[in-house]
Amino acid sequence: MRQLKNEYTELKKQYAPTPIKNMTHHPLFGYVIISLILIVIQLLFISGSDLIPLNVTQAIMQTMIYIVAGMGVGLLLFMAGLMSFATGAFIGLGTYLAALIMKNFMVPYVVILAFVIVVGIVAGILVGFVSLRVKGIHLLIITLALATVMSTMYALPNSFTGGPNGISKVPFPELAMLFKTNRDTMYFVVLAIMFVLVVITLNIINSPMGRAMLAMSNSESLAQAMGVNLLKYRVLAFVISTVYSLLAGVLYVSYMQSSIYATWSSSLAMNILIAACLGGTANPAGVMAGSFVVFTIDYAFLKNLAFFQKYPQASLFFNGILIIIIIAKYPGGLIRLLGSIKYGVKALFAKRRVYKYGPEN
Amino acid sequence: MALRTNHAMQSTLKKRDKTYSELVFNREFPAVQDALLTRKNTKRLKQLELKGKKRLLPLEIEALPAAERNAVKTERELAAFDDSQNLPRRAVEQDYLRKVKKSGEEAAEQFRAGKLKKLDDARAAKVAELEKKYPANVENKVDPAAAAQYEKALAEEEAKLSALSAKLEGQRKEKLKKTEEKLNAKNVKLQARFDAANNALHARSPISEEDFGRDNILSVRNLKMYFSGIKAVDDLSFDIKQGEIFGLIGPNGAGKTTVFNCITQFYHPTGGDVYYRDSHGNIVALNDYKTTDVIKSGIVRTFQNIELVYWLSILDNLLLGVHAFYRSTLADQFLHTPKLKREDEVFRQRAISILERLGIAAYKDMPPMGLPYGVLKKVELARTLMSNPRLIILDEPAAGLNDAETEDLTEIIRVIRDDFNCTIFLVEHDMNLVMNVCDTVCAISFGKMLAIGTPEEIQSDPLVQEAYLGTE
Amino acid sequence: MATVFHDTFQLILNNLYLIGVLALSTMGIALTFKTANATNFAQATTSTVGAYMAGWLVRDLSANPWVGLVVGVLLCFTIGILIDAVVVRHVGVSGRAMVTIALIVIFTAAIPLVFGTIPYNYPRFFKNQIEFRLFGMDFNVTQNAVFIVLLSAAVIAIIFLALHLTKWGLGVRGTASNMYVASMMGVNTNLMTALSWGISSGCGALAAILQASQTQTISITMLGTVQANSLLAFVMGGFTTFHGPVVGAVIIPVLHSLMAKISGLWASALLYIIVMLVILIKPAGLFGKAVQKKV
Repeated sequence: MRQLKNEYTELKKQYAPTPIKNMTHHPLFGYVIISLILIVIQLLFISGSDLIPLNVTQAIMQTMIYIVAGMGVGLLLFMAGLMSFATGAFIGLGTYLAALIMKNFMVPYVVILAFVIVVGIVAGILVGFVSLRVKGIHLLIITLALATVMSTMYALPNSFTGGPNGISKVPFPELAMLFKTNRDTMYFVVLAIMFVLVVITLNIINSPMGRAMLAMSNSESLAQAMGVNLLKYRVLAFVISTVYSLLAGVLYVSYMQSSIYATWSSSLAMNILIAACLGGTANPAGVMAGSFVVFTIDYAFLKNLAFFQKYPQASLFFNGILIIIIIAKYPGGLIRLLGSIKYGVKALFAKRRVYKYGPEN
Repeated sequence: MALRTNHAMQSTLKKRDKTYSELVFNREFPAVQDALLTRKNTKRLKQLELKGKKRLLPLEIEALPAAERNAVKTERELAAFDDSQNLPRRAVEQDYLRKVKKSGEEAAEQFRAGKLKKLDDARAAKVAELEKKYPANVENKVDPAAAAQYEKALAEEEAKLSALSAKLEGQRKEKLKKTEEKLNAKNVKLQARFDAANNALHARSPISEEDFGRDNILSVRNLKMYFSGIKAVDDLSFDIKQGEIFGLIGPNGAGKTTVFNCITQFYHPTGGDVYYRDSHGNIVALNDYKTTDVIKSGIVRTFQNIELVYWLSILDNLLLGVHAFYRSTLADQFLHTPKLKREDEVFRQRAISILERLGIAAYKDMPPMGLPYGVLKKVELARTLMSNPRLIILDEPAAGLNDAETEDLTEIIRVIRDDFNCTIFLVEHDMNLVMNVCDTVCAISFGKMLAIGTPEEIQSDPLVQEAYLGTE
Repeated sequence: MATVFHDTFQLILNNLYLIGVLALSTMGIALTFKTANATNFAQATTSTVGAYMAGWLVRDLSANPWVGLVVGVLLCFTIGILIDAVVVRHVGVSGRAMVTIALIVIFTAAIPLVFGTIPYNYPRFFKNQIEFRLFGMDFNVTQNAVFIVLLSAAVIAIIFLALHLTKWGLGVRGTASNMYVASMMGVNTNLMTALSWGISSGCGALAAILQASQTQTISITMLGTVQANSLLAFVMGGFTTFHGPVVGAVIIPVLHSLMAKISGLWASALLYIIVMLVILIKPAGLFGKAVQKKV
């Protein structure tokens, strides 16, 4: 009898099915939950609830778009150890290309995305080749020059970018020629594309190329000895980041219906870089947390206050302080910080338990 | 025409290496798949067994003789009750300790006695209740209906279990057979393609077998490396035999690491040749290889300081060692197709078996940060073994190790040589290690050869002594 | 032909003050890069604080512009030392560029809060025009621009002399070549880096105020192009030396004027493309030496 019970507990310890634990430990669990929350928010908004004002959904929307670009920056920064100021300029390029196609041709949305991806690959290869000759901080300076060149060109009077006035009245895209989107439904399209890119980003991190990029940023000689072709993976990192930026541009113009050169300055790139840096990891979770702090809070809440309407830059002040604290004290970023908060709460409960019941025997 | 500039030959080489890694993968895959399927099936079977046991346990109790059944039931319920009282009792003890400090022993004693009495009373009441519910003095008789039900359930569960076991076993065998057939058919084709490519390369050996030497694996001839006038390596020649442990020694700045860098093509030599017999018995000139292609020919190196990626776990660091042998394309990696997953699994199994052989499997999921230096050195050695190398080049493996760790390392170097069929070429300052482990030692000074021979010969060589101790 | 030469040279003369401003700014960037191992992306933004301070003194306290100049430079000197002592010293080398980017954000947010959002004016130090004849053609240049170039040249010369002749210079050069060895040799590297930050920020403020005196406006974006240009000059000239960046800073405004002559609209784009090509061809810069990495 006793034996039977022992056998049972032993088996239970080893083989008991744990569906909930398996689910919560799945790498995508958190992202699915976040997506569901975002969907609920938008549904509430569409149903006309007073809980969600317009500027909140707009802020979430813009944040999602910048998260797409931010994931590319995060990969570049934390996996390949490279930085780029050209993100903003490439998002701008994406908006102009998409606007050009959407205004003049009736093509499915997928075709636009594919076309932009091809352009991103070409542009990324060009920047990537530069990166083999110029390293580190000097590469950042080169990308700064590139961004300046590009935004200067956007501002010149021409029909492609609309010059100083920008472009406007871009029609909403038609998905697979089936149904026409509007502002409300575009939200779900952006969410879906962001989710797909999150999955791809996670795949990149956990694949041989992710390991190769990490090895390369860690020690070039080690990477070479292990057969990692430096040129290939540097170029690849830039291609991925550029494609993400261009896709973000397409999403931006599909939602905002307009694009003006002043948005695509290096200060946008700087904000995205700060968001990625705040996150502290190449994981999309880090970029999301950083973008939430940098963009959502600013657009959704601070913009309503009179003080911040008078001084629009002031909200960035706290971001600046925050990032210095993060870099100096928490190199792991917000995600690490959240992790240590979770750990601290757990430790607090454990301490309380010991206080009340004495140490575990 | 040299291989370096011959694009047709380069592509043949690439094709051969790719075919070969596929062949190796195909050879390893069935066993890995078998292990995976077995693990999965065992889990399913055990889960079914667990479910059965959950059902059987109350039935079995019911089927016991009446007195015994009551005893078991009493015991189980009492145990559950005691469990529920465990925490309150511990809380009382803690409160007692605090009360002693606050208001003296006497008051605390009183407090504890009062609290414990309450708990004891509750327990006594429970015991009385249970005695009433499950009286001990009943007729000790088995309930035939319950017994029959239990027997039936037992038989059912066993039948279920054996049915599933047979089904899973059948599935596993079928799957394995299918894979093996598929792979065998593929392997025949691959082998033919590999042979064709290899023969084409074999025909282009830069030097003849006799010239190279039948036993040799590496032959360095008149190697010269000048850095803007400084002769780091000057006209150095030596041969390394297959399966030996070859040591390169010399005073600081003698050019030892430069020799390594010339062999692994981190530097392109100013003059001279490095010939090498690759994994397939072909003789190749390493000067024709790119730095990143050297690992594919079967040469791996380590570095003086530990070069591990600190953001990856030990297992992922090992997977980095096999990076050049992945056949998954970029698209596979973006989408994590089954092809990549299969490959990952095979390489992961290989990594685990290597870690087990070196005795550090326990660390496999940890990041390298904060692990002992000796373990990290072993991880580096394990990483070199991932690519099935023929020649391992170790740059000062014992640097920074204490005596016990160095001893351990000596053992492991021998294990690697014997178990993994590798030749080992090392640079070392620790004379103890060199003299203990090496079969042949070569001493150089200022890039020039001083002496070569067995450790004893080197120790007694006057030139070497002079270089190390200086002239009088 | 003659008119082309005349127009081009006149354009260079019009932008003469930029040479001085850029050279000072670039010198500051080179100094912090060499000693503190940090590329200061916030050089221009920090300097703007000094310019605003000077502008505020002149506008609200009707102080002499020269007093404004001195106070602005001293303020930035202090800010520079504080940046090093409070922030940069406590951050690893890899994070320092990011920290300076954060400083840009902080200063651009803080300046409107303190000094308001309306641009300030700043008077010229010298009001007259100089007119002269060369090769039979008439040229003119403002006295102020000449003064700016001369003052910058003097300041840069003093810093160069100090670097090569004084004990401080030896310390800075020691810290630049190897921080750990220098600290072991008894050099107070913390003091050296703090002084470098102070001096480089002071140089920046001087550049900002000089530019303000020429263009007669102070705004938050006044040094936007100067920042980008001085970073490019720094890389193009060669970041391993002290003199390379300064030469780069002289080349860029001249080149910009030439490009402006070729195409007014595309001038900056052409300039950056040329500079990028130069850096691609010589990654270590015009005067820099490539460092071979040891394996």
